[in-house]
Amino acid sequence: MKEKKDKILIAEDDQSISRLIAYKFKKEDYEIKIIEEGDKVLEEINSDDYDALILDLMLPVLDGMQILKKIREENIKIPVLVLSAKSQEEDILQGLNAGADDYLTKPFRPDELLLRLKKILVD
Amino acid sequence: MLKYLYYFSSALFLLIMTIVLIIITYHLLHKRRTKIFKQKKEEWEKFLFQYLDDDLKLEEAAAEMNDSYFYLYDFLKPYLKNLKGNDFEKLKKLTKTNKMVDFFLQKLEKGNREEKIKAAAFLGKLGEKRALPLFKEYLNSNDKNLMTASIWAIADIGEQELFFEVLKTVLKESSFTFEALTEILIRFGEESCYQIKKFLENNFSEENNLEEILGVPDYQSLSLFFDIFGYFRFVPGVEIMVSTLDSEYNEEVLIHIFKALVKIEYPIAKDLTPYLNHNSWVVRSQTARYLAKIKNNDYLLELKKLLTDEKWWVRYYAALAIFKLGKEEVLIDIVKNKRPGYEMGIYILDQAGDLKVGEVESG
Repeated sequence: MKEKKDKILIAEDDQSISRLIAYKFKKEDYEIKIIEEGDKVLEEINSDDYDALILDLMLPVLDGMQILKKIREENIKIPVLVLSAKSQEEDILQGLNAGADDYLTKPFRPDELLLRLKKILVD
Repeated sequence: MLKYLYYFSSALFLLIMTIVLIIITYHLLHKRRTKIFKQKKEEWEKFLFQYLDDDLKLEEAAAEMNDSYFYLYDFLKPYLKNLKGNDFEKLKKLTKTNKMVDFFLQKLEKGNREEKIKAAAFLGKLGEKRALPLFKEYLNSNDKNLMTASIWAIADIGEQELFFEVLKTVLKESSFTFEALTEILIRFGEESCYQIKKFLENNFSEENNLEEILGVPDYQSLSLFFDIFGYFRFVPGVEIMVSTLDSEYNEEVLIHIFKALVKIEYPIAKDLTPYLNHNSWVVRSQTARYLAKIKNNDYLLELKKLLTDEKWWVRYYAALAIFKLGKEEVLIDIVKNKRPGYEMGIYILDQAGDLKVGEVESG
């Protein structure tokens, strides 16, 4: 019997980047859903059984940091990997403090993103 | 009279029709461009993804993506901006192999204004050093947009030899915000800190001022330089900052020195009491922040006094410093006995989860 695919939600407003990530992840047999607006993320997480969230911080309508805080406030256990252009040490610490399981800065290497995602899925 | 009215309304009608026609033409052209770009994007995307994932060879990808270079530039822009390492190198190889770099080098020299600006952004992002002589020339261009594009391009390439030329150009341009200036210089990388340090050692003293060389008041250039030191946590720059503290009266510079020291987290041998009591509340708060960063316990009394400062941020950083210095018992004592400044003590302890509401009430 075929094992269930891990389902990943990508919250990223730059289509070029989200589609590249999706291409790579689909090849690795992940199921992918892309969302571009921040206010849809919580709704989506609550409506489906996702195994991880890749979250950009600068999303329209509701920014990633607010989403992250709400996720943790509502005690949703989904692993979150922040992928952001905010690269200062304070930004990274703030993201991790808010409950991110990992934080990767842009510019990034898609291979590294994949490895880090695999790690948080195992953890 | 009626005749003039007729002429006037005809002219007005013609004018309105011309404007409407221009708008329609522009709209149609834009729509057409968007449609072409969308088609091209869909076509190129699969080749690019396959190429980046080693499913397509460089030459094959280059053969599929070797036309409509301006559209291709728009297509590749987000990838050039967001990818690094091997993926970025692959993009560089692709744009060389498909002759896109040659195309834009030519446009940078002989294109129209808009083409030159696009070429500058693209070649800068790719780190194309062959474009440097033209970028250098365009630093003196009367066209501000072309000059600005060249500045960013040189900064993206990180060409150290042009660092001071860029610095002088950006400082004399009033259109750049302080944040933009910092961002430009940061792109030159940490090596620029050594250039700044050497420059200050040679040119900044009681006898000399920087304004003669850089054309702006010293406090502006010094603030910018110390910001760069802070960004790169440049420890060799601390000595100059300390000697500036000895002589500098300008509070703007002091603020930037302490902000940089907070980032560098390097202790300095200097009495910090005057700065904890400085007229500027930003200097007071940043000094308190700095003490916490370097784990300096020598100013606890001054920090306690700052808990009643008129400015919220000063009270906040003072309380935070006391807490981070491992002296939470001092804060708890202040809170329990409702000593001056206890409100901020409650705030910090509460944030840290060290305080139960009942403790204050019963205190």
